[in-house]
Amino acid sequence: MKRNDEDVDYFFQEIKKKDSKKNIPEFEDIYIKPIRFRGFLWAKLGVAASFLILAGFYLFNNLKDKNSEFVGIEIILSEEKTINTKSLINNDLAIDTWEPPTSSLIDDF
Amino acid sequence: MDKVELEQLLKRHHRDAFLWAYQICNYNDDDGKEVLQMTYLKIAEGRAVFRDKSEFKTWLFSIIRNTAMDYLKKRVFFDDLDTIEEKFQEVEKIDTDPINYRDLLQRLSNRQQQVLLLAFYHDMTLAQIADVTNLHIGTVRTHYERGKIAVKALIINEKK
Repeated sequence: MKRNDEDVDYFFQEIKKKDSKKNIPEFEDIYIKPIRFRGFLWAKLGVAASFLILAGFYLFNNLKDKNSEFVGIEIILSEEKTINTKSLINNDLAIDTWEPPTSSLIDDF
Repeated sequence: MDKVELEQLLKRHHRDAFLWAYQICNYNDDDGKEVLQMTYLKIAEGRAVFRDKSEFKTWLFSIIRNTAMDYLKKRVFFDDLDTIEEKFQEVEKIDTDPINYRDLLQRLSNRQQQVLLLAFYHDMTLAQIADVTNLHIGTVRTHYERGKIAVKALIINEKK
């Protein structure tokens, strides 16, 4: 750009002269390469997976504790022969001796 | 344009880009660095894309200007003791110079300063300045002419 402004030109040349002594920071110190998207995505997935694993462990341990509090029925099967000949069926409530509690109501007077 | 090519172009214009950022941040080194870093990040992340519509330098300077405007608006001024001391030393330096041109330039309005710096310091045409400053070329011409008159008057006053 051609200009006929010698004094203004001189004015700015003087500023330039001063700035020539100025320390300019290195390009590498200022230019920061951004994290690549793919790498960033993998990092995100890694963190999410770690959280899921931790949550899984926590839930599994909680369920395990709850199960240990439950008292269940214990069935023991034994192959040993018993010498007890006594019947295991209780005869107290045999059907032939049983009387309904309302039988007195049908008696004839 | 691939990333390597882009980095090479940025490297080539790094000195001018830093000086422009520094000038637009009222000659504050740290702010200039910060603004330039933000600008480079915008470019590297693809938030600002060069589309060959203008020269690379013009495009880069316009991003630096916009970034600096946003940065300076948000910035909260907090002068710690070191900064005050630095400024004090700077004032002492100014007093020893016969004419401090930078100080004189700062007496102009921001727009006039920017237009004249881009024209006389960074050797841009008025059309390029219009691109960088987002101003109409007519407005740029007005700032340019008035700025020159103001600078001439300041020089005459200083020489008296």
